[in-house]
Amino acid sequence: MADEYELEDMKAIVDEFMVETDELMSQLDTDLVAIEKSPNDLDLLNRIFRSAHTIKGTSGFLGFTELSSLTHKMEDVLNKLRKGELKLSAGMMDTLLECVDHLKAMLAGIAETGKEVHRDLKDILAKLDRVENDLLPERGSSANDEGSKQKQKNKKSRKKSSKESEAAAISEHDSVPDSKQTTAATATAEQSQDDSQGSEEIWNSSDNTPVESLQVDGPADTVPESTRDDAASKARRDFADRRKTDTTIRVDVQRLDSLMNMVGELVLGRNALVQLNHGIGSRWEGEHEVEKLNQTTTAINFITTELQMAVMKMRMLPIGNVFNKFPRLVRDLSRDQKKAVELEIQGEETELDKSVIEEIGDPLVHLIRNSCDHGIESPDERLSLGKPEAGKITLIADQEGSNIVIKVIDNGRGLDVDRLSAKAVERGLATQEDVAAMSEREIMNFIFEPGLSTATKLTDVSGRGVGMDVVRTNIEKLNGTIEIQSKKGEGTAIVIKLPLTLAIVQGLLVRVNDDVFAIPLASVLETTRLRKEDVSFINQRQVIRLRDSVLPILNLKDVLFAGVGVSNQEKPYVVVVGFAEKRLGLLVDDLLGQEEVVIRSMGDYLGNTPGIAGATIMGDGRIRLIVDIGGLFNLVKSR
Amino acid sequence: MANAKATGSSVADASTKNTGGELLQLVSFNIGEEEFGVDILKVQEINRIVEITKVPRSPEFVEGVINLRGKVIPIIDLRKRFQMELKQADKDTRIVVVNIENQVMGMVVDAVSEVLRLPKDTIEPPPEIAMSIDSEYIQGVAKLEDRLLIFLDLSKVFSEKERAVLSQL
Repeated sequence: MADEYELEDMKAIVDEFMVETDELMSQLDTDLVAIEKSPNDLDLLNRIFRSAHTIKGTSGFLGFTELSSLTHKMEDVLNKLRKGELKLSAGMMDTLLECVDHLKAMLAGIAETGKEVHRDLKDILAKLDRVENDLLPERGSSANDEGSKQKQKNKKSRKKSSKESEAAAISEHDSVPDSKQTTAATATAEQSQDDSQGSEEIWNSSDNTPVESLQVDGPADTVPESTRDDAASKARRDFADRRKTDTTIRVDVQRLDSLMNMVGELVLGRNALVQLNHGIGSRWEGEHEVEKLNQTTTAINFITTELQMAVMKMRMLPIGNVFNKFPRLVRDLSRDQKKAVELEIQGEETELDKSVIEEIGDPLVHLIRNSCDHGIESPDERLSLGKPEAGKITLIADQEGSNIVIKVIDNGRGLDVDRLSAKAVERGLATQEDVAAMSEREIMNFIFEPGLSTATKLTDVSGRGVGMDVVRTNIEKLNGTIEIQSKKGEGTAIVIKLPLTLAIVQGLLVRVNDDVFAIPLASVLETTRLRKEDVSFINQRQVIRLRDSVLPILNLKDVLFAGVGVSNQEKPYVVVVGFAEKRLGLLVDDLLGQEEVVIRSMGDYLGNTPGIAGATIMGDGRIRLIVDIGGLFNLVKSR
Repeated sequence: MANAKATGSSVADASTKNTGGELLQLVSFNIGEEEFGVDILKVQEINRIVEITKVPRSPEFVEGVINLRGKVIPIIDLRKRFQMELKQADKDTRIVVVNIENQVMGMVVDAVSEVLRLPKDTIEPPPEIAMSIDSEYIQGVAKLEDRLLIFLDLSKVFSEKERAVLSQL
């Protein structure tokens, strides 16, 4: 029983470790790239050191010996860096970043199996050794003898501890209950080592006299049983202490989801109440109770809105979590391709729903790769064009109403519309005539077609024409829209618009004949009055000219109910909707306003209705169908 | 709204003095001249007609969806299902809400008459000769004193086949 409990306990701690380390790793990535630019930033160096140190400490305590030996070595190098004994070099950066990659792989292994998976670290450890010792001769007389002696001692103890670690690793695999003791021994060994180095302790080391008294040189077996247990419980206490000071708690996403669902129901109830109150108010105006009801309704209305926002916020994460990995990406790419690329990030504090955050990473990676690979020219080319040598990629996140807008902007060569249209014709995606009639924007959209790439040569980064297709698929999944703005020779901007949250949707209510539908507001780009003189026909399809683009228009009900032929063109309004890069104008009779809708499935029986995402219950108790924009575009395509 | 389950026990045995064999409780309702029965255990409730929202591209016999106390449930029109002449809803029109394999659905019927108790053995297999509705929906026929009652096979009425057709749309 106790063992079982212990196991559970351990698992919880390992889980905690993984989450925490994940955060540290992405921090490390960002910081390492940043330090390359400003090698003298001591705060930054200290932070990097602390990240490595924390990972080392915790992994040692948990018995992840390889992980801790690697971070330990990293820490040695970093320590010298921050003391100014080593100077930062590009080679050193590469080695450190390589370490981070190793760490990531090892962590992934732990996340998958729950224990450490063996990984060959000989090469990287040797590299680190070389880096660490590179400048030893230069140190010469300035370094005091004591220091080097200390170092030797450390080395010796490190050897010992690594032997112990091996033993620990073995015994952990053999019998789990033992692991507590062995890991404790490892942890103490590591800790006392740190103390002897006099390094800064995150693990609250000021009061760990019992640990200090533990002789590292002596074999671990001679350590009295009681001391070991003390050390173990102390390490655990430290761990707990560290957690206690956190002001955050981790909550299972499922709980948040169910809370979100309940709030969704509450919002619908609130809508019904507001409507009821309105009806009663107009019928029995001036009555005392009606007045009271009105006040109560207003209060509940207000609180529900606040609650909805609060719950939504609970699910939100700053997009910085995604942006964090891009400095490293850009750095690696620019080194690989021998280009100079600067990355500027704005609005990393912008918050997005967790589910959106999870999906947006991949598309952004593709877009940034594209910018680096195809967008930004080589330094020579740039100079000859009179551009600054270093290319610039700007990543901006911002909130616009209930949407999040993410922009990836580069000042590279821009899209070559002529080449794109030639490619499109070559691939049979369009005919010469089609292309001739297309606007630039429409032609640019060809880059979303799978298999189409304007890159003349393939690299391992991009050029195979899959990237943009992936981008489109992911954006579609999130019900977002994407737009390309590009000018040849000046650069490209990709604008992605995503709904803030997926659970509660703002719906635009539209009427077509006697039916009312809700169109998700996130997909609505604009609404406009239809003017007859704007309507024309292309290939027997109705289109309107809207500013610089030609927009196909269709009667919403026609599309949904598969009405045949071009019916009633006399609809007064056009709702322009977007789905990834596609645009369509929907003809409706009336715009009725907007209301929150909570998408409910219509069950297995009607759940697969094309063009309909589900139903929602409005304030007046009526059911309104919610248009599924993606499905709608499919219907249009299949016509 | 009348709850069939609640009223079921208070309804007198309509047509049976026969106490031998297992008793079956049926909710009976009318469509046109015919009287139908469904197993009371499958019936969740019986409601007056409410506004039904049409669903695009649904099978012809699907009337649409209704709001059942905050749940969205599909409604089928049995007249359409049995290819009978259509009729305007009137004061007797009811929606019989049934639960089949945890799916709640409703069917529009002309009128609900009563709850019957029948011994199982009074239900005979459907006759070979053509009846007013397709025999595939019929589980059996019960002879009452003065009339015939068609015992519906609900799982066929909302059949898998139709669901498959639906998913292909």
